[in-house]
Amino acid sequence: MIDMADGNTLGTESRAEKRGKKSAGRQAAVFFLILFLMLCLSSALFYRVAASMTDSAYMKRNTIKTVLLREEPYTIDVLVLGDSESYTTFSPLQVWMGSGISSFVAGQSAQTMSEARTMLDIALEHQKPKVVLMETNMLYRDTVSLKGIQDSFYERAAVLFPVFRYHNLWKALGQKVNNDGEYWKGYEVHKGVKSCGNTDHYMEADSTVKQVSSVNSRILSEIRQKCEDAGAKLILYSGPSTVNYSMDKHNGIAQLAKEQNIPYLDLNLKAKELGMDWNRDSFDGGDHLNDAGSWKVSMYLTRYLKTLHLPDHREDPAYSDWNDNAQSFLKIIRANIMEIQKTKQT
Amino acid sequence: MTKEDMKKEIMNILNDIDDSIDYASEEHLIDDHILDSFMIISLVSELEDAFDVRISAADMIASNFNSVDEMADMILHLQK
Amino acid sequence: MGYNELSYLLLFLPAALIVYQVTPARYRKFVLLAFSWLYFFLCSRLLIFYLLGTTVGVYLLAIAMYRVQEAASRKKLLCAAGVAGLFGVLLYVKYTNFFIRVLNQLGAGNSGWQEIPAVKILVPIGISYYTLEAVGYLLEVYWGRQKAERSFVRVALFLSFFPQTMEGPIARWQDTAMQLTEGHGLTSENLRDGSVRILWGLFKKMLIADRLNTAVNALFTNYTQYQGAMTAVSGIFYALQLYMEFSGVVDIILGSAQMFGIRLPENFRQPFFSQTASEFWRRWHITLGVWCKTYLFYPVTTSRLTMRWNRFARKKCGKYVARIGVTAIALTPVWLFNGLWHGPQWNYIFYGIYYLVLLWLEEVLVPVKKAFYEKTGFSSSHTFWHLFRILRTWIIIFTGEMFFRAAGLRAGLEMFRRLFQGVHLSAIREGGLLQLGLDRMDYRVIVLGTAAVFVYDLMKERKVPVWEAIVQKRKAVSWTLVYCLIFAIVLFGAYGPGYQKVDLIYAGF
Repeated sequence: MIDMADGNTLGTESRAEKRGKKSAGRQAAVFFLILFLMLCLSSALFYRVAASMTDSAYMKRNTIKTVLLREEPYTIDVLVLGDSESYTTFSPLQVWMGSGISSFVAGQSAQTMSEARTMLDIALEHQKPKVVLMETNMLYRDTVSLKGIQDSFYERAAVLFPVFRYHNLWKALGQKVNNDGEYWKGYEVHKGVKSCGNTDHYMEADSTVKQVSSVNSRILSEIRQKCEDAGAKLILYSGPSTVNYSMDKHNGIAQLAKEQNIPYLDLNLKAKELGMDWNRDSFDGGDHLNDAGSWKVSMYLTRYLKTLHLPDHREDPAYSDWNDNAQSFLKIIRANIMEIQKTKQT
Repeated sequence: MTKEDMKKEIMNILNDIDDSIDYASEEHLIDDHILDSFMIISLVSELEDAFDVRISAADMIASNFNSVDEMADMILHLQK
Repeated sequence: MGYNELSYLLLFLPAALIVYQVTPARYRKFVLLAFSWLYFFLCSRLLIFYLLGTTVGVYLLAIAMYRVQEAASRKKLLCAAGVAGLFGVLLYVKYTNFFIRVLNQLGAGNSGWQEIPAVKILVPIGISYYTLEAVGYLLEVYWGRQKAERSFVRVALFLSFFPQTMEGPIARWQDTAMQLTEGHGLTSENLRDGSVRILWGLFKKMLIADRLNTAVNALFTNYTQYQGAMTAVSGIFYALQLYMEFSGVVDIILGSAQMFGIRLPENFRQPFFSQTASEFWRRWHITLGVWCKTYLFYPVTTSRLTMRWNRFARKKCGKYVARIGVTAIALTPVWLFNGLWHGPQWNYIFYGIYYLVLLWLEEVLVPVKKAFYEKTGFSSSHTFWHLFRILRTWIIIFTGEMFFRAAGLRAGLEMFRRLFQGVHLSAIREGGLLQLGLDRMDYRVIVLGTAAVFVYDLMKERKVPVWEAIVQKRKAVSWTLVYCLIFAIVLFGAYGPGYQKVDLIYAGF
């Protein structure tokens, strides 16, 4: 038998075989065209349904995207990006109470730089932030390895075909709608306590520089450009975390921030000034802060944001629901902090 | 001993191991899992005794055991 | 880069196919080898030197053995050196720390014992698999069943063909070596059938195995919180996850190879339809079983020592005793090897011994079985009895997999004990299953997905050529089915944010 595609026998290929090959090619093209159309169609459908859902709990870390889309257009002045370090350090409603500045944390657990870029794009569709505050932990998230490439690959596919992102929607079908998931403008409430143990080496003097990968620094400069184009000021900040930060990382980020001319605020260096209590202020041994820890950080950040001359909306009737929201938030947060303070050292 | 005699002898041995199989007509004793590996071990030691040959690991391939005819061929080959 | 990941499916594999196709036929084997080594490099970086060393060593040894054909003792020496070297490296890489731990435990009682610190050894990807292939090839040449291969590329490809790198199937030389270097062009049938098989594999892995993962983790991590029925569920869920995962990934592997026109040996043949434990092992991880049988079981059983025992015992104690004696002699190395091969953990060794005992008992009980059949008039073809035997085999499988997955042997034994602490069926009725991180919708997907796999396996068991029949149908039918498969994966697959990525289970062995 002649092997159709064998280079040596190419010349002897009969006409019928050529025709067969051509029609196989055409069939494949039609097959993929239909597939493409079906993906577009389902994507449009899923995107719509997702945006209209009031119950987002089932979508887990994508929730924040839909919550962000539901915010009133052009109301948010400070947009926070980052991984879990962002929504356990920055508390928008606390900032509101202290300054009247409207902010929103669009952070996701384990957010990658490319996801942050997507998140910024989504935010800029309906919002016009004056400041974009970016938590820096994700700068050291893996990107050069295959997994990094993979994640950004998935991210692009999900932007192109939202059905990949929202494919879990079916889980909500036939389930009763659950409205108890309250979102404090992106902040996550935590009242657990777990001591950080020995923190002697935390932020110990060290002159080595841990470089940020070239992929991540490139994405950072893209984000900076996007902010500039949108008229927003990009600021980097590192939330206090004994697990995630060290001096060599500080040096790496500081160097990068200097190169790209972005202001950088490392709160790990100010842990004493903030009064961090490493026996009580984290709920998981120094990785993330609980409500008591984030209260201290957000106090500081409120003071910092005030220096940027952002508008105070507290008297603005368009923001009246922010005041109500802040009141109920305060109740919860107070109770939690009381509880944390009562906890015996563990 | 002619090959026919040999085949008769092999049949006897096989029937001794399991008499519920029609060995004369089977040609895929191994491929169809009719003989399991423990039956084959018994078979091998009986064949070695009966024909005074040494069957080694190298001979343990399906095509030597799939039918009575193939077993006879293998033994003839080993006797040389 | 697992075979279920986008970087493999949408970048690596298509790139390999395209470069392969545009290259003239006689150079295609080099393309395959280049991509295979690249794949290995991407997974294990510089540890590729283990693979290269093995390849060169095995290639030269085989030729040397072939040259000294006449001098049997030298040939034997070369072969023994080769096998010892290959297993030596495997032992060093995978078992050093295990031995250190055992030594430390033994020495702990003695005064003056200095604890040996653990060493850090990086394990190259798939070393358990290619080592077995290399040993098999050496033995084939040693026995004179295969000629020593002169083409280095063929030997290299045999050991490293990229779809097989991570988790087999473990090929014997005669299974794949010749095909790999033929350089046939791609055909639309192969591309189509290969991709559909890949989709089917993704379906099994992403819908069922990865979704079950959350529950399996919960059940095996907090095993002390469960007993009775819930502990039984642990074994069942893990067996289901492992089958869907391993056979699914093997479908992706075989589908990938098929796109190049290469047929790798099958690794599964509907194992859950087995009537006995020994049949299960002829249908589950087939290539490991075949390797053990060809290169371990037969050499042991045909060795002079075994033969002598057999002759002796037959004369003195009768056939039955001789038979069960030989069975024990032959099964022991096979099952200790099988257990240890999975890794240096006591529960794997226990798993091997578990099947060793069961398979031996199967042989011991043959007369009982015969008597039972004669008395009751049952036979293995009796429908009720057939189903009963299948169910009994399931219980054996589930129990075995429970020990296999348990966090250490002690945990496994504790779980086994908990199985008998009351039935506690009510735990399941009262929503125990919903406490495992899966909700009702998850279970619906798992049940429906498993039903689809069951129907397909049943058809294969009945020898109905399902896919062939579908292809012959009108395009509207076959295309609709493939679109359904794709959308089932896209919509119901457990991937993306909110799901933990599950690494290939068998790549860890």
